[in-house]
Amino acid sequence: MTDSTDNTNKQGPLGSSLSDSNCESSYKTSCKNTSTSDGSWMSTQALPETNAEPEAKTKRSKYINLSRMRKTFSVKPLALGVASVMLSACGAEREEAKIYTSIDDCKLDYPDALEKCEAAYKTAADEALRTSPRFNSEYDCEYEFGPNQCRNVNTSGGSFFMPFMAGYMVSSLLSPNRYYSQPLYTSSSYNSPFRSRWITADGHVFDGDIRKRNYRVSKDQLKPKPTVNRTMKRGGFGSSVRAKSSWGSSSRKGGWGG
Amino acid sequence: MFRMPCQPRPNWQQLASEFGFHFHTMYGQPYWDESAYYQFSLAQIENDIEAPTAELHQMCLAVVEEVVNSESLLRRFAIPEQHWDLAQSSWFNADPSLYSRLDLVYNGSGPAKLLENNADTPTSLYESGFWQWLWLEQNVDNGKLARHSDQFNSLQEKLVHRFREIAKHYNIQQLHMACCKDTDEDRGTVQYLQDCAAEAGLLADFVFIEDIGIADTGVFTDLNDNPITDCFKLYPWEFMLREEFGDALASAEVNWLEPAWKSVLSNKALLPMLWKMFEGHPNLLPSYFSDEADKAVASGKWIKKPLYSREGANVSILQDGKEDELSNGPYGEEGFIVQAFEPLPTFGDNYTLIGSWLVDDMPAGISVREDTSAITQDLSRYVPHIIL
Repeated sequence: MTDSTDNTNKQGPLGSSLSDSNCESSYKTSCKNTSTSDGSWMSTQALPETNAEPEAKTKRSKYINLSRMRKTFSVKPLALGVASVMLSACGAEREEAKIYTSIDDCKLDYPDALEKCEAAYKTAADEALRTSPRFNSEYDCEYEFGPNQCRNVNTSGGSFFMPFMAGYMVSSLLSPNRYYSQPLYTSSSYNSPFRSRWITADGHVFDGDIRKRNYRVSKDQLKPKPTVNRTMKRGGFGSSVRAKSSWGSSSRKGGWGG
Repeated sequence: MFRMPCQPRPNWQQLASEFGFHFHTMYGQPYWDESAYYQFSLAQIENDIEAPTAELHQMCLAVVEEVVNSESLLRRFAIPEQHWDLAQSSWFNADPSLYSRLDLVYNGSGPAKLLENNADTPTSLYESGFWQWLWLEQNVDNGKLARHSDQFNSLQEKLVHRFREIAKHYNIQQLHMACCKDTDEDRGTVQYLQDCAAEAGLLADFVFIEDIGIADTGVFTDLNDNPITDCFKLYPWEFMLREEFGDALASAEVNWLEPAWKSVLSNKALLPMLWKMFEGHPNLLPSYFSDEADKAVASGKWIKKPLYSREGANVSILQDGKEDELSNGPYGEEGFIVQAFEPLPTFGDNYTLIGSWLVDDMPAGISVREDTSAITQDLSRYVPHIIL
């Protein structure tokens, strides 16, 4: 629906410059899934000289990329991977999205779709419980989000603190197929880089301050965020190694390969 | 099938360190040994090893089909009852497998005999798929081996291809890979699989088995608290099912490599089951559950092994009904099987064992290991091979 290559200087509904800054201020690689290298480049590489004689049929791997197998002096992957991720994220399709800070906000925009406004709010609230950042202490949470911005949550997995949902971002609300709704947070803390800005559960910071309510965002930004996991315990695998390794013989210790 | 002495490449140890092959010498003993190689004919490879390997694998899958459909067999295989569902559903869902290695007794003629199936956590993969491949390339290049020398070894090519298929099957771009701490060999094997996965476009994050965590949400996590949704583990199912986190396996919903149905294949109860279902097959050795073997073992020479064992531990030899312990160890509480003794062929002072690899259900190459004792222990040496 939008020009996927040039959307940085378009005028949005409020007439402001709408660079959504998807590629500038995301502090996590929240769009890393857009990296879709399928690795197929390898098969298109020319065979090395040692294999130049066309052999009818061999029983061995035809070509192995030795430089990729070398462990010392090998540089690259990470920087390269990140750069290509960013590029692909910037080129992604954009959608209109609007931020509401209450159900009534939404109802003003959609007087004929009151239930949908309520459902979108519920979706965002549920998502907040599942995906919002979690902290062990109120202090840590408030350091990031500001005083009185955090609540205590008790689950079977334990007790922790998460920021209140400050708003929710809705897109395609009237779409018969599927609307998007996700929780947004903001901070009043002077310590925080997203003070007075909108931020998603996985750390994407939108440009402009919290008065800005209309954005054009990439589809990736609207996808459900990953569940936040708090590890309760480690070391539940691997005990057999210790038990079985202690029987003592001339045999090798360690590995469990056969 | 010959054993040919040859000159080691003068720089091979430096090369090994450049390529990250850190376990060529283990516990003060040489493991990688290129002072010799084995030479096979193409007919030996194709008729005596490759074709039987494919067939044996299909027979093994037929056993899995039997076992997962029978409670009494699941019990016989010592699969803990609370995990039957895990093994069964992974089989009924056709969860994809990556690889396995059949250990064969073969002396150059006659049918190869299946000793066991390392279907869950086979190692010596890097040495086979990459390092002996490089050895051949270089020795052909420097004129030490005939230009048309070949090798039964398409492991790396097939592993990369298989990772692409698995990525597609589970619709993933990322997976975790895990092995235990303090073992260069296992870590090297997993690093190799990470390299193969990367070649297939998959992001492979490493985590040690001991570092895996469980989250409040019921998923397993790595050290960054990221969920483990798809995982290759170089760690035996029979351990995982019995350890503390075993209880969480069902709800954690991980797509494991190898899948849980491999707990049936990597189990030595497979051997008597194969004999029950395919008695007399030329590539099988007679084998029985030890509590059903009284009549059979009254005469002749048999090897008695625990259902679960590693490193050749807890093995006995039975000669005309008289038992002699060959190795002690911690295994055996789940029961034993007996298998007709089939001597490994000797080349000079060496007892030689063939490991025949499969990637999924396709034969993909061999590894040759030598030992100075008749029953291969874990201290055997790896010797490269060629086809000429």
